[in-house]
Amino acid sequence: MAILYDLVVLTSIVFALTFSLTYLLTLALVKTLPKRGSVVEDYHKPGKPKVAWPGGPAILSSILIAELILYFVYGDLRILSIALVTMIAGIIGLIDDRWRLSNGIIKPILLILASLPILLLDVYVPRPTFPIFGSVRLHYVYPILVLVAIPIVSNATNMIDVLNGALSGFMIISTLPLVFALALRADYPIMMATIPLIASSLAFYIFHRYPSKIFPGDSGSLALGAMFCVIAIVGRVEIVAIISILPAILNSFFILSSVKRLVEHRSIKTRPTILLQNGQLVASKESSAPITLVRMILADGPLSEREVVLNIFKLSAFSAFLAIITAFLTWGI
Amino acid sequence: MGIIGSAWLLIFLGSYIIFKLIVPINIFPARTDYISTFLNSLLKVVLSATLAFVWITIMIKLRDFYIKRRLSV
Repeated sequence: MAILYDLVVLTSIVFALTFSLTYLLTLALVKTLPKRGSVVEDYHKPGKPKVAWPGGPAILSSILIAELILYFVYGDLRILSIALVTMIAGIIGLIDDRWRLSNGIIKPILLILASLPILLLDVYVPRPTFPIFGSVRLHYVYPILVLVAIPIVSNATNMIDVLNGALSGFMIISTLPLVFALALRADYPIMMATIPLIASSLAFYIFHRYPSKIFPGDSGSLALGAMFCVIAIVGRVEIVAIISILPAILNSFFILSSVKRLVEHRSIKTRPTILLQNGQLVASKESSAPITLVRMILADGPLSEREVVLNIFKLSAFSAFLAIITAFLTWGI
Repeated sequence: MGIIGSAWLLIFLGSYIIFKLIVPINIFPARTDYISTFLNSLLKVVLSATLAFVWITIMIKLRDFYIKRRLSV
């Protein structure tokens, strides 16, 4: 009972700290970025209004502070690896925000660097647990999977950041099954280390939801994706994480399979959606347009941006539900 | 949601086939030399890669079935 009480108290403190920091830093960025000309166009609104960008530094700073405090509390190297991976991915995102890495292959290659703390600190266990049939030994393959996992998941979250509030809301819903699975495994240090991801995403969502006052940029999306992935690896809830983030992975898979090469999303010329004069979005019927999750949602007819994002959240909630079932099926194996 | 549900089931099915059916394969049970071990491992890699290819093909067919029918692309 005393342990549960300590857990609740620490969770509350970590959540409140991360939420407050992200909220205040994002508020400051919303006010200062436009004055410095750091804005981008919101393509999915008539008139393409300018929106402050990038909000990633607010997310990154608050998460890093919270993770370092948790590392100080628990002394768990896995928490340090979470901080390092998130920081490296966030810095790569900042470089992309500032200098626009135009070649589609450079970002995934750089993101392999973000995987290195996991391997160098040796905080992984090469025995993933699968539902029903249990854990398997992957001593030689697992380190290679770690190297490619961070780039894949980070890029997947980057590619789902296309509409107001989509990324931040998606991350909140997708991370909840991880907390649940870690609680089932009684891995409380990593469960606590997951709280900053939810708290920061929630605070940022207040400004990111429709109509957005700020966009996260690659610094935000890559950092959130990398953090999600490293938590899954060090927390040994890999399969639950894959199921939970399926909409983002399928989105990037569909884009890659329709464009047939690694390409920076800004350089895709034919847009998958068209903005109507009434502000609604409709799926493009061009055969050369990439097939994206948003285009698939709009396949049944035009919707407002808010309605499309709501549909993304419904898909995410469904995946989260399947992930929780998966967590139960791997529990105790 | 149909595509996500299908992907979920395919992940379960694919991982079961790889780790419970392909990994235990031993076509040279009485031999322990390097060539036999190599050929055994090669067979497993080829079978796993084939399964991965089938998985990707199924996902692409599902995608095409869902979107191209609705968008007439």
